[in-house]
Amino acid sequence: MHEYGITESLLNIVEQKAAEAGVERVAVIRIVVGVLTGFAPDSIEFYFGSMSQNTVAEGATLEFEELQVQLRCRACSTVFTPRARDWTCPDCGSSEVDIEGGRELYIKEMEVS
Amino acid sequence: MRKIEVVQNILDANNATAESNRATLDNHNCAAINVMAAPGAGKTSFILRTLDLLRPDIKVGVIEGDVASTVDAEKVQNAADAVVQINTRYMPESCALVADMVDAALKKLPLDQLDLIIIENVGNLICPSEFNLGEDRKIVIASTPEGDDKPLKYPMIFTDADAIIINKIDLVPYVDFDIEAFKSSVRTTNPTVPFFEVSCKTGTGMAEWIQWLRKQLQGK
Repeated sequence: MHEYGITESLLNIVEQKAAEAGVERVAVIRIVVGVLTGFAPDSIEFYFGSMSQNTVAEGATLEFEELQVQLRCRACSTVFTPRARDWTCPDCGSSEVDIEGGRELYIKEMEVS
Repeated sequence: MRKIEVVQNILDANNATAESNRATLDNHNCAAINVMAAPGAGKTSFILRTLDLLRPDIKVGVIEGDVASTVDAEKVQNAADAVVQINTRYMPESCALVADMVDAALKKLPLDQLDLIIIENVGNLICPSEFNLGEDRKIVIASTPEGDDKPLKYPMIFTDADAIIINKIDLVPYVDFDIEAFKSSVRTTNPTVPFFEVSCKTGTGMAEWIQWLRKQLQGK
């Protein structure tokens, strides 16, 4: 339910970048979203459809690249993607980790004409 | 067709407003805590107990976030030095407070006369973890009837917490809540966070929490 504001921010960035580049039309927007964020691509698409009307991004396709969880073991620095909810290090068995990846939410690139 | 590299965080706008909120608070020597929890964990009861133990020597304003009602704000009205209610039903985001809403609320509070702002977020363990508000500390309340597996299901909010309150500790004999299992799950990604085991019904454990909170306020 928090995708409305996110979609608004997304569209603001897209419009700004398009204006800077003197672009007439944005065809594709590639978005990177980590699985640990609570953001649902379907909801972003839903809001984007109506919000982008009469903008440079009207009709643009949203492509989502989902990033998995990446953890770094605090004891031995091994970086790993955990299996389900078992976040213990596969190398040394430590259960203290830092989250390296999985919380991303950014616009990577756009295809424009 | 050509490509434009963007690589811009979509939450940048919210983060910028959060930083501006923090600057506003700093200018008024006012601290802020963001209290997050699931619905029913005891956020409002916890805030009422906290107000009772901090005042009158510490002046406290409360920002109440709720989807529709003013029930919580009414409860807090007489217990705080100032209260602002935000009903998120009319906002783009209804499941969490975002920095813009706190910005609007701060403008309605007499910040010069306050030492601390307690922000009661919307009851939810997922959405509030995405939005910085400009707070100094993030406080998460978990209550024992919710079960000890919540840090496994909602890791982000527990990872970012600066203090974790285990509320309804008086119910431990009646519910399946393994305190050590809970703490151990949290420590996986947040090894140094302090835990406070409290009962807002009986007042148990609140003194330790208040001691910690007062320490955080020093230097503000």
